[in-house]
Amino acid sequence: MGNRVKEHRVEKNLTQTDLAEAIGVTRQTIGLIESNKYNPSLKLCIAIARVLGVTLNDLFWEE
Amino acid sequence: MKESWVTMFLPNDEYKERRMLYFIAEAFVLFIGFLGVVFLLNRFSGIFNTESSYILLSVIAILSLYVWIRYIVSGMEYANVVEKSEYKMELRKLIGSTSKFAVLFAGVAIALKVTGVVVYSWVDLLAMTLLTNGLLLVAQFISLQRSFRKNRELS
Repeated sequence: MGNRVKEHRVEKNLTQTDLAEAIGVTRQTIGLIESNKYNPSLKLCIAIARVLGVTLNDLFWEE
Repeated sequence: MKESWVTMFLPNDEYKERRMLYFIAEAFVLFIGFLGVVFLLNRFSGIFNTESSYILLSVIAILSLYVWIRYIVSGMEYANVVEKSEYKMELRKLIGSTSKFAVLFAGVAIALKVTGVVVYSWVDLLAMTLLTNGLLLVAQFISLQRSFRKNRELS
């Protein structure tokens, strides 16, 4: 399953470190999520969506 | 929501927490297997009857080492080290903290020897300090290397 976390993060001009600090995880965790090597919990998905100002659908839903 | 007391021993980062739980669960499965093997060996040969305390100690050591080695090899300890400058800074910190530990370790070992709590020679003490700290330094270096490589791949 792909996701668009990187796309929206770059759109918001945030680095992996910025996003990681904003939601209280490590930079490595963000990298793993963006490269689809780790499936985050719903709680973490919501935190990412809030920081990026988008919905869960925008980030994780595949058409 | 944290629902288990074991969470106080786990990292705050979600990915690290989940991986650590896997490692601990793997160690538990190994423990059950090990107990089964010991049970069978004891039943057919009685080899461990007189040395049960050594077995207990070795089980504790093996399980602790298993979780520790898996953690080091996973490359998640230094999760924020991506740039070469950060790598060099962490390497300096690592050498500093290992040196501090070596001094502390030697201090405790000398205190135990001087007070007569434990009996061993000065050569033993020196060898023990060098070996322990050498292993710690190598393990931390491998951990840093693997973390750095993994983080670079994910950036």
